[in-house]
Amino acid sequence: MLDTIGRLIETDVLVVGAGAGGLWAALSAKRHLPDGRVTLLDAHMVGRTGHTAFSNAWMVVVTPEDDLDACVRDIVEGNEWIAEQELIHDVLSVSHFQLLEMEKMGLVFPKEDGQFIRRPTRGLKITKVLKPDGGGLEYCWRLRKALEAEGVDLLERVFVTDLARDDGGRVTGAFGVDGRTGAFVIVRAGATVLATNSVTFRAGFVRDLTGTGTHLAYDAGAVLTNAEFGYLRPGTPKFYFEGITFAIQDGARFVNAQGEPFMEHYEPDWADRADVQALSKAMVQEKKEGRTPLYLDMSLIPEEERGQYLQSSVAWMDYFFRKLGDRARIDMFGRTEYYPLFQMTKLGIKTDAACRSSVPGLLAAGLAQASCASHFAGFHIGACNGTGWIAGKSAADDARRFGGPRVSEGQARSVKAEVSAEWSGGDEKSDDDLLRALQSLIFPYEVSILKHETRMRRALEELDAIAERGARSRAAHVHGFVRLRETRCMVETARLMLEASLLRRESRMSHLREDYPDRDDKTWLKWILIEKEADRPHLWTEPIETPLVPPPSP
Amino acid sequence: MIVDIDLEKCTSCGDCDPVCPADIIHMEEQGGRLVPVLKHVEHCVTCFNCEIFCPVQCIDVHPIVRRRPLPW
Repeated sequence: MLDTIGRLIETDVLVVGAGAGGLWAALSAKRHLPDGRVTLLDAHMVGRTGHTAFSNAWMVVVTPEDDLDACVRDIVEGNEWIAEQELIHDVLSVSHFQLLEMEKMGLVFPKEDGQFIRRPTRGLKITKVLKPDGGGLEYCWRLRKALEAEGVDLLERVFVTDLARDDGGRVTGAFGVDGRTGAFVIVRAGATVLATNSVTFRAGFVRDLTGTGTHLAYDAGAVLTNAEFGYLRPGTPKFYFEGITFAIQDGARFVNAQGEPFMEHYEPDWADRADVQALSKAMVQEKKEGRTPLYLDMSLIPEEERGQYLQSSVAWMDYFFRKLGDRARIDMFGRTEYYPLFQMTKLGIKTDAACRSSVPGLLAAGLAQASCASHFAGFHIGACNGTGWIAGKSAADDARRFGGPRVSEGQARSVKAEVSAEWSGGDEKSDDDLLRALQSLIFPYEVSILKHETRMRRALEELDAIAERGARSRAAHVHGFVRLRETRCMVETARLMLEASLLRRESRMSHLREDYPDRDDKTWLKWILIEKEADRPHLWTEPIETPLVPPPSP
Repeated sequence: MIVDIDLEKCTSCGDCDPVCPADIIHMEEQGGRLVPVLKHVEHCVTCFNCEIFCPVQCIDVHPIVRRRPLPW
């Protein structure tokens, strides 16, 4: 009698999270299981919210004229081998098909002389990116319309708190609450795809990203990886700006306190066109040499090129930039102080090339899936598109094969009681206070960007106190409850990040160890894997498979 | 951050409520009609969705974002 405990929804495939990965996973599941029920669940509104909707939707697409193997090599080498080679191959293989599907949905990808207009992207040598008119908002809306037309059920404003599991440990759906009313929701599903993006600490532009699905998987016994890697990028606290790549192509330069363009020194080949994490690492070195503050000098962009920065085809950026000068009296075409920011973790769910996790019935797509340690500017959505399609197909296969999922009434009652207890009589600001404490611990560059064993051990000790405080906290209402759960997820992520960073005794991409400054391919072409064991993270390493792109020569 | 909703211009359509990714705009009855009410406004992510999707342009979002701790 599950329907007496909460609102019961039956489905063959449940997809959690309606960004690029989830939208494509739902579409793929429906295409591969046309007679089955597919449900796409989101904490807010499908097609209008989530980080994909707020992006430009630049995406990697490999067309038939491109050299697929060379593009795979490009991304694997760009990732310094921390990459699932077969999965990346399969993601790129399906990208052109998906592009044509998106055109059928009515998305317009600008062309010149019949060819898609594509641009290079930082950090990749040959792989090109393109974006639709209207950016991520239009992309998400067109995909929503396609899902509605094909009969996918949308379940909105539901926040998932736990995964349902049968006696054998198989994931059989999810439990959640209505984000407005707090009503309890039970979804019984043959297969469940988590597509809930990366975990952030609510830095800058990505304050809407909390990546709670990764921790639902961790709690259910799934193996995670890439906790030691992050997405570092230069940012300014003054305003959001997502156009650094193209600003630099148009003449902008990073300069230090002496006015020197410092990137030539650190990246002679790429200079300011280097990948964002190379820029961030150089900024840290400048800080250590005492040459801060650092600036992005946008005054070097010619007048005739500036209009494109003020009239974005992405709706929110268009509003934002129009108001920036008038309302905030900020001239973006001047020298603006910039910092290296730890924007998001690369922690994700380890899967096979079919996007299946280590737990039966549980799959992962989008950035909740750990395909690689760096996605550059256009492979974020590129990877989400492809892993979504692959995960949706696998979920359809699993749902067809296993069917008849069982959700225990005992687990449903227990989760409901635990959840309800967490938003009664709590403090109005408990989640905000906890978040501020966590941000103050993690954001300093000597913790999350330039790492050292001594400092990380000290941070772990301080984190214990924050975690204890989080465990004791109670919310005053359902809004606070959701925020509190999200913040606890961030606290646990910080622990995994620090533990994995201590274990990897080398420097590679965004993982920069002051006490182990060199890359060590002999020892560290490995995944650091994490599993929950007796409520604590258990970490171990396994070699990275290199079936398509051989390891670098010694 | 969202700073103003002109309730005289608002038509009570409710389009601004579901598009808010931070759950801060709630349609509630006031004076015999539904109006958008701001709750937990400090959680606004300055995404402009409410302003973009308001059919009568009665919402104003200010472009300045709340500062977070910096790396140095």
